[in-house]
Amino acid sequence: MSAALKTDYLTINMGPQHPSTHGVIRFIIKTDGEIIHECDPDIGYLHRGIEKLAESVSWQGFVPFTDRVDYVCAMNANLSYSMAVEKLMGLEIPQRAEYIRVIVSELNRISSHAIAIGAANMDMGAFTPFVHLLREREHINDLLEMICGARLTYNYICIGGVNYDLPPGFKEKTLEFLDHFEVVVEQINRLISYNQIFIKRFANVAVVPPEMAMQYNLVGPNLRGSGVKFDVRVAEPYSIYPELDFDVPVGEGYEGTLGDCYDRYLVRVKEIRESIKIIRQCLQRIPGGEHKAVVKNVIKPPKGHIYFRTETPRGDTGYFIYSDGKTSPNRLKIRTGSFTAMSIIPEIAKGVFIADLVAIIGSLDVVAPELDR
Amino acid sequence: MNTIGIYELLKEKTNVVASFQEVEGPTPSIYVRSDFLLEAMRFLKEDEELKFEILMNQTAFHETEDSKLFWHLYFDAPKDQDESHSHEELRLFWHLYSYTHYHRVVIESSIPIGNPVIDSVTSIWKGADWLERETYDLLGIQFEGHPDLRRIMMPEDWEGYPLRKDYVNPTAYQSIDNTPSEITRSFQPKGK
Repeated sequence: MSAALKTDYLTINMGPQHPSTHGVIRFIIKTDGEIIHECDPDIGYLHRGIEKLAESVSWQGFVPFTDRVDYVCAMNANLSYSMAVEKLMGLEIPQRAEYIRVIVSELNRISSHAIAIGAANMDMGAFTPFVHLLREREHINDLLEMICGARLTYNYICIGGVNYDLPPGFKEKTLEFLDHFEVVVEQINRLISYNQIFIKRFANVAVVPPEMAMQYNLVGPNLRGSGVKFDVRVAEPYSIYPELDFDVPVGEGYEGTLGDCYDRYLVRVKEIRESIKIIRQCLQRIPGGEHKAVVKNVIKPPKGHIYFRTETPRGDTGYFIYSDGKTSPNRLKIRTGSFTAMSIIPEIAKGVFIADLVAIIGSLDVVAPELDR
Repeated sequence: MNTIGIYELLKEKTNVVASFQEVEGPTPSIYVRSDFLLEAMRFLKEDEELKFEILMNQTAFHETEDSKLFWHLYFDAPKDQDESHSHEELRLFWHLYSYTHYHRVVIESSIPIGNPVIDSVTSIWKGADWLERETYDLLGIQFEGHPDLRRIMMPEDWEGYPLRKDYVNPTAYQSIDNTPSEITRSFQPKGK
C-alpha cells in the first residue's frame, strides 16, 4: 500500500499582494509539507524605471525621485544622491548645512527603524507595538514638517546644502521629543523585545554567518547583525560624522546563534539609541551661517564617474553616477540595501517553516520600492 | 592601498592585460580587457594584500559616440575592432571593497555592442547573481557562466533593453495601449 503513495513538492504562491511582504513582492515557494524546500523571490512589481528617468531630468530635478526610491527614509536617499553629485562637482558646502543634514537624516533613521521594528512585530502577530511606534513616528513627521512642509517625501536636502534653514523652536521641540522617545524605546523593549513569545519566534531562525553575509554583500544592520562591525559612517567617513561620538552596535548572539533574526532586530533597536546620541550632539554644536552654498541653476558636473555610498537605515545606499558633462546624468544606478538583502532569501529560506519566511522578511527589513526602483 | 598600488600589484603578479585610468574626476579605475576579467577578479579576491571580499556594486552603461570618455586611453584595444563597431560599446563597472584592509577599487571593462558577452563573476561572489541579472535585464549583457540568467525587473516577455540609448518606448504591451496622450506630447520639446 505504501508503495502506491506518491509524495511530491507542492508549489504555492505568496503575494504579490500579501499583508506581510512589506510591499508588492511575490514568492514562489516549493514546499515539503510545512517546510520550504525552495523559495524564489519574484520582484519588479514596483519597477518605475527611476534610473531611466534620471537620464532625462536635470541634476537638481532628480532629487524628488530619490524620495520615491525609498519613501520610508527619504532624507537619507536625498543625502546620498546630493553628496554623490557634490563629490563629482567638487563642491564645498557650509558647515551649518552639514549639521542640519545629519540631524534630519538621523531623525529619519529613527522613524525608519521604528517602522522596521513595528512591522517585524506585526508580522509575528503582535499588533500593539506597531501602533505605538506609528504614533511616535508621527512626532518625527511633525518635526520634519516644521522644516520642509512635507511629511513623507521631503525633497529637503539639495545639491549644495539644504533648501530651508531650521525654523525657530525646532531645537527645543526636537530635544523634547528625544527625551520622550528614549523612554518609549525602553517601553517597547519591555513590551516586546524581551518578550519570550517574540524571542522564541525570532531566535535561531535564518542564521546568516558573517562569511555568507559578505558573499552576498549584506549591508547595514543586516550585516552588523551577523557580527561584522562595519558602518560607512565610521569606515568611510563623510559629512561631520568623524567629529561625532557614537557606537556601532553589532549582533552578539543575544538569544542564541550569532546572525539570527533576533540579532538583526536588536541591532536596529540599539541603533535608535545611537541616533538619539548623534542628534543631541549635533543640536549642541550646530554653528550659525549659511544653509546653502551658491549653486547655479543649471549645473554641469565634469566628465567622470563616481560610486558614492552613505549609511541609510536599510544599509548603505550607493549611487553610481556617470556624467558626460551635460545637464543630466548619462547613467545613474542605485544600489540599495534591500536588493542584496532580498537576494540572500533563496539561500537562508531553505528548510525553514513557511511561517518563518515572514520572520525573515521582517528581520531583513525589505522595502519593496527600494528593491525595484 | 590606493588604485595605482593595486594596479602595479596586478601587473606584477599576473599577466592580465590592464591599464590604469587616471582621468579628471574623483575616481581612478583599472581597465581590464574583457577576456582577462575572471583571472583579474580571482586575483583581487584571493591575494593576501588585497582581499576584496565584497562586490559592492556591478553596473554598466551604453556608451555612444558622443559620450566617449576615455577612448584615447585605450592603448591596448585592437584597432580593427574599433572600426567595425563604430565606437559604440557597453562599459561595465565593478566596485570592490575589502573589510580586511578597508580599501576599495573600481574595475572597468568594455564589450562591443554587437556581441555583448562577458564572463560572470558569480563563482567568486554570490552577490553578483542578482546584480548581473539586473544588468542583463536592463542592458542586455550576456554573462557567461551565470547559473540563472533571466529578467528580474521587467516582465519575462518584455522586448528590448530599456537602459540602452537606442531604446524606443513601446507603444503597447500585451494589448495595453501606451501611446503618449496629446497632453503628454504637448510637453515634449519640439523636434522629438
